[in-house]
Amino acid sequence: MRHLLLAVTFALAAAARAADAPPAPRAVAPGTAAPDFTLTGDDGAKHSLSDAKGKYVVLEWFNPGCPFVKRHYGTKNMQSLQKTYTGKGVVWYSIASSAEGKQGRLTPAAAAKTRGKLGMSARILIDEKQDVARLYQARTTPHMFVIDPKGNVIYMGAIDDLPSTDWSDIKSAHNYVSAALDAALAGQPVAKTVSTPYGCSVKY
Amino acid sequence: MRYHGRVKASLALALALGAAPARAGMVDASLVSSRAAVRPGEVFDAGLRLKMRGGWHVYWKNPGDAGLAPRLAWSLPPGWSAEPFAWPAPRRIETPPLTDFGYDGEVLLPLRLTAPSDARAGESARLTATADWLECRDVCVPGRARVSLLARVAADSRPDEAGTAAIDAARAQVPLPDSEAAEGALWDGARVRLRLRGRVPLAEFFPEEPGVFENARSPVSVGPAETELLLSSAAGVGSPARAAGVLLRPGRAPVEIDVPVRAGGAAARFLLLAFAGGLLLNLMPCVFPVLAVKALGLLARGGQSPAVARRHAAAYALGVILSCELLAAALLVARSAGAALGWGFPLQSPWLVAALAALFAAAGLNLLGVFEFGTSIVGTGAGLSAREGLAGSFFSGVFAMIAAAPCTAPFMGAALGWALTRPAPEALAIFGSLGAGAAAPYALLTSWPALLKRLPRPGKWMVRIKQVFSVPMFATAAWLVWVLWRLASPAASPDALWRSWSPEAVASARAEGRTVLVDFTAAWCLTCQVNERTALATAEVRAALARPDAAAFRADWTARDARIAGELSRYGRDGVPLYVVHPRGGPAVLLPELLTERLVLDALGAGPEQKTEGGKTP
Repeated sequence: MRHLLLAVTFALAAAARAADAPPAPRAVAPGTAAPDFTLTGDDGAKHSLSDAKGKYVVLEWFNPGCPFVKRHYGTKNMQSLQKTYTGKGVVWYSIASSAEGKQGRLTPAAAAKTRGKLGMSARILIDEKQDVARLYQARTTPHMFVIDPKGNVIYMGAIDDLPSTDWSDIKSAHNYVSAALDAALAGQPVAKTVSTPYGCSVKY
Repeated sequence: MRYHGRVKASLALALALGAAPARAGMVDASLVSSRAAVRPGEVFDAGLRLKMRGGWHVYWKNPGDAGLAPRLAWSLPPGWSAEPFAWPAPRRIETPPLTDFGYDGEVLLPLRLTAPSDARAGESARLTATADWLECRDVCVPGRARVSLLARVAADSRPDEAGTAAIDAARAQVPLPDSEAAEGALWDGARVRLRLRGRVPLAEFFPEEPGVFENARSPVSVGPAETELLLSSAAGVGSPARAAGVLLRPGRAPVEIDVPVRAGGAAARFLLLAFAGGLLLNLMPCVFPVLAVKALGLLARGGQSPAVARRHAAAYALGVILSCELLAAALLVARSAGAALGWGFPLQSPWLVAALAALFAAAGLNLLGVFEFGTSIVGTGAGLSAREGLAGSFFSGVFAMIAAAPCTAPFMGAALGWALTRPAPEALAIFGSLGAGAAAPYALLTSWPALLKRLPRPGKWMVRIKQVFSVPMFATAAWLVWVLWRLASPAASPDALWRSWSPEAVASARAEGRTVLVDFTAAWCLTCQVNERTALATAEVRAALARPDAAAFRADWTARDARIAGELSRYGRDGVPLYVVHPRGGPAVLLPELLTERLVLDALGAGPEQKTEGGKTP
């Protein structure tokens, strides 16, 4: 009997001393829960993803100095998307994740100015330490995530199917974000749930 | 920030005459031709040359995590035609956590032009195109330039020496399809294992399409004769259907590979690996003495009937397999609770190490005949006179597996590391297969009547042999006491060559451009100790590690350490030993569990083969 005891001790030793390492963060994927975060906005207030439970949420990685971002703001494409969908009750966060000293680094005050100048309906959030960018493995500006009212990712990837910095071709692009939101808001399944994001690198 | 006007309007928009470079941003763009004069109807080589200022880069056809590939839009005179670029192999541009594929310094993107067959000698045509690219350093700037080439038509084609040389050099870096380089690809549920021919620790893979694989350089697992690239699929996508892309191997021309990824069969493969690992475990110093003593027991029962022998074999196998399963269950339970444990984890507990030391000492005394256990837990010495019961056989199986904990056999690391990423039934099956492998030799021996008949008769000589085999038992007990001492007072490495490991220290050594070897080890890991003494302590390896462009780190997992456990699981392993080499600017190379000096030197780039190949990659 004591032999069995020894063997069982092996098992218990493992189980009893559990939890000294947090499980590795799971990669964000369509159909899985979008990890929660709290960031300071251009309004100086704290904003949490979990506050928006029950609503659709768009996360847009944002760097106003990036030519790909300029393409969407210079043509008012992004502003009009933001206006349309925030008008339908969607929460839109433009996340500025640039590291200290890098292009696109914003303070809340500078973000408020940028937001006014560009005419954005989205709230700019400051990801000061790039923690949220790492959490979502954000690679590019723009890099888009659409989250449903239950908090699950329903789309992640590029803003559209035309990787370019050219302002003239934006009208001919197929916009994945509006496609996902239109389908979801109409109660339809989202056809394309993941694509390869394009743009400038997030300035880690 | 202003949005007045168009971005490109702010850029130099230069019209090139002849082949003079057009400059936009930090890049000079020009067209290069291989011909001073072309024949009517001739297909000839040309290329777009992009010359960058220091620190700036442009992108490959798959730009990686960010960026955009250069484009060329031709406006050709009637009858002329142009093919798309051929893409020279890129290099990785790493800005952690992001990885891009591209070119810095200068690149020539070759392409083929065709002159119209009805062109007349003596005429010339201006071939004009708009080149678009994205150039990045810490910021990105789109570049655009009009580039052109004056093509003279003549009855006889005449080469342009300088242009030809530049284009040939670029063509040499354009990968050609090679169906031999990759032997196959297997989806193991977490990543694609791309098997390559030969031992190529510095192999590097660039996926053809974006969004299929992770772009960061993948770890390489090398064995005695084969290499596996461990490719992670891109976030949000499952198993890729094919592994298609460019393969770089130092000293060889880049090649294009495209192999289907087998989705099934991973479980079968790892079951087999685990079984092989279990078999080899019998030869490891931890298990061998136990096994040898068991063989004596077999002799003692020489006269018994085959049926009885088979029952003993089954009891022994059951003991081995059940203890494997118990270990697996413990690991799974602990892991689901978030603990980072692996093979050999019981030895990270001082109490269990003390208990084991006592157990081995008792086994040694027992062999010396100081006292007898009867049908004891050890079951090794007692009952040699055919009185050992089935329980004795069972517990000697258990004992063999307990003794195995400090050893890792080849193949085990990969198999068990994989098992722990799988759902419980699969994980248990893998551990069971390891146990079956470990039990197989003795069980087969026992139930082989022909062999049993030929065994020597038991006699006095067996007592002597028992005494001999008590030595490894005492040695193990003594060694466990040392482990206990190391658990109590983790000693700083007494060796100036080996620095103590931290992810930051490794990152900074790599940033300094050093080749880094990390030895993940533990005092209780006998395999580790053997490798450290035989392969890592040789004069040549020490010399290679002592070079100013190298650094050696030792991560000591004797006591539990979540950071080390996390690092192990990053490489798909569940325990030590693990040897990771980061060649200068290279990926992580995982060496096998049993090291040889040659293997280490090869991976460090100090092998005779690689010495001549420095800086060969474009």
